[in-house]
Amino acid sequence: MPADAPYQEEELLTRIVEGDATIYPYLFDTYYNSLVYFSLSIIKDQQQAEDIAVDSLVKLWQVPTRFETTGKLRGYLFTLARNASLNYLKHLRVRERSEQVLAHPEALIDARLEALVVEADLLRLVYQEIAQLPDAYRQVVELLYVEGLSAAEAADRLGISMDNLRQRKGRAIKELKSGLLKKGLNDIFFSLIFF
Amino acid sequence: MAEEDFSTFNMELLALVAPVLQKQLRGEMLSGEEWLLLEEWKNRSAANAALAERLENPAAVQDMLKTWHDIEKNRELNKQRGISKIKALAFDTINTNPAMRPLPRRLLRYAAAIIFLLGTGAFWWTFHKNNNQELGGNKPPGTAIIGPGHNGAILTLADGSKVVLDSMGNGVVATQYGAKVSLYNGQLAYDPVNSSATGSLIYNTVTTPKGREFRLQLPDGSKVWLNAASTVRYPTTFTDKERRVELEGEAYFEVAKNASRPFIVKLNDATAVEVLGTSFNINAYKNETAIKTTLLEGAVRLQAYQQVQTLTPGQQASISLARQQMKVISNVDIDHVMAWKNGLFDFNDASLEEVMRQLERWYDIEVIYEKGIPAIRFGGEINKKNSLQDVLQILESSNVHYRLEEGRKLVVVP
Repeated sequence: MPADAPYQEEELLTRIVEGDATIYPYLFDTYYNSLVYFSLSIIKDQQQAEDIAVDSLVKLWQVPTRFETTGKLRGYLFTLARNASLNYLKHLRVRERSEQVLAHPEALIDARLEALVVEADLLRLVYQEIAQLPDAYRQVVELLYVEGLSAAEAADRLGISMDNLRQRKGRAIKELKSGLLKKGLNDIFFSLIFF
Repeated sequence: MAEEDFSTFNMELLALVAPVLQKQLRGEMLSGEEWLLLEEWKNRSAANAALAERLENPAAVQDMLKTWHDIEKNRELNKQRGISKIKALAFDTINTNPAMRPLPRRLLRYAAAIIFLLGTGAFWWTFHKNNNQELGGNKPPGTAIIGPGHNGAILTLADGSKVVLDSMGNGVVATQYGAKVSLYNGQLAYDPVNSSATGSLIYNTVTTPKGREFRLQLPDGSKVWLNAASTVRYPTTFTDKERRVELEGEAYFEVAKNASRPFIVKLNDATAVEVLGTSFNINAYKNETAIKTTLLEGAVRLQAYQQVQTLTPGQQASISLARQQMKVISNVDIDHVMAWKNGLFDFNDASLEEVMRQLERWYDIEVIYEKGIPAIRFGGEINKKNSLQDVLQILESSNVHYRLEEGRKLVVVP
């Protein structure tokens, strides 16, 4: 749970069992991305993974349940997403898309799914690091690094000169804390071709 | 519906891992407890260990973030869908089976999608346009992506036997008259042997084919970065008097200081570079018009066609084979010279031919000019990790026209 949670754990869990819809935005913002990421890694279909994540969250209102802790709540949501994803795979026989998953259905990979939960958690934290940058730098990181646009495209999209972009990139690198992000961003080079 | 198994994930435990991983990514010190937690987690499953490994690879993390970013883009849209679903539940408390109401859900999705598209119409259009361009480019169907080169070389031992240094793991790869030759993280090294050779020297050769580069440490501790399509020949033990190696192609040297044993790089019968503990780059490809030696640090003395020249840092000696003469340039762009070692193509002020020769070496391709060589000059840098097709797409914007043919042939057309 993020430290800035607007609800005390007990209050949140009580509202869930009462079917209170006002906590939906908070729950959605907290779990949605992770659930899609998790499901997407299994089924390789983003639209379907989005459906699964939404349905897993909505289930809290379909079947109001009392959870002892938010950890249990999270486990419940991921388990719903896991089962729905595996059902989807079995159902649609997208065998070639997910050979690894279907090759070992038993061990099924709960170990792999566990790693995925951690992966999604970590991405939320790393993504937050980018999101917290001042806008001018955040945009540069998003366009160049996350979306992988060329420098020319990024400068064009932002309506700034290449030099300006280069400067912003340099400052963004200074602002970022993760060595890996710094390095990834630093490894993007400017391809200016003329003749 | 089958009963759900809610005990699949121990979230309390898992939730502790990501913050520690983030701390590690940021290069912060881990407490003993945190370190233990990570170790335990890694040892728990191969999947965890694999994830930990991927986190050390910037390209893998970039992919992961891209996926996350794509999810984030649709978040608001799906949030609204969820709200609508919950509201629909409240109005219809009797029927709680979601399978009974597929229609509203679909309609809502389409409606939301249309609003989304209206809002981003311009973006959609340009995106679409680019896509078509890509599809309509001159890539013939069925030409496989040609990936970038990578680490690897062939080691030829004194007896003529060859060891491929591509596929082997870490460890000792050969023993050469007492000197252990080992490979560690893709780098070849010779165990320092204290006694220097007295009798005849035993030579080893490391050759990088096209599409490979390689790093090695010579018996005296000097380091050599070998560019693609290059060869370095050296004795497994140097003599007391001098350290003599031979080079073909391109390499960057960081020579271990030893004033009493000069380090000499022989380039051809008429050219040698004498070094006194220093770092420098030599480009001596047979198919380039000149041999270029660039000094980064220290001092070197060049000998070519009866001329002798000493370089100071930042200077480059260019030896023209056709004219058999040597010319020295000061204040050379070191970044340009060292681009290859730093994972870049630097095409600043390069001719099309020069660009193509670099691509030939790195992508292991053959370039054919269908109707002469277009007079195009380039500028800029390109990451060497790009696939050939990506690089060609960039060059296309400078009016390079081409087609790829079977057998790694690149045909340049007017």
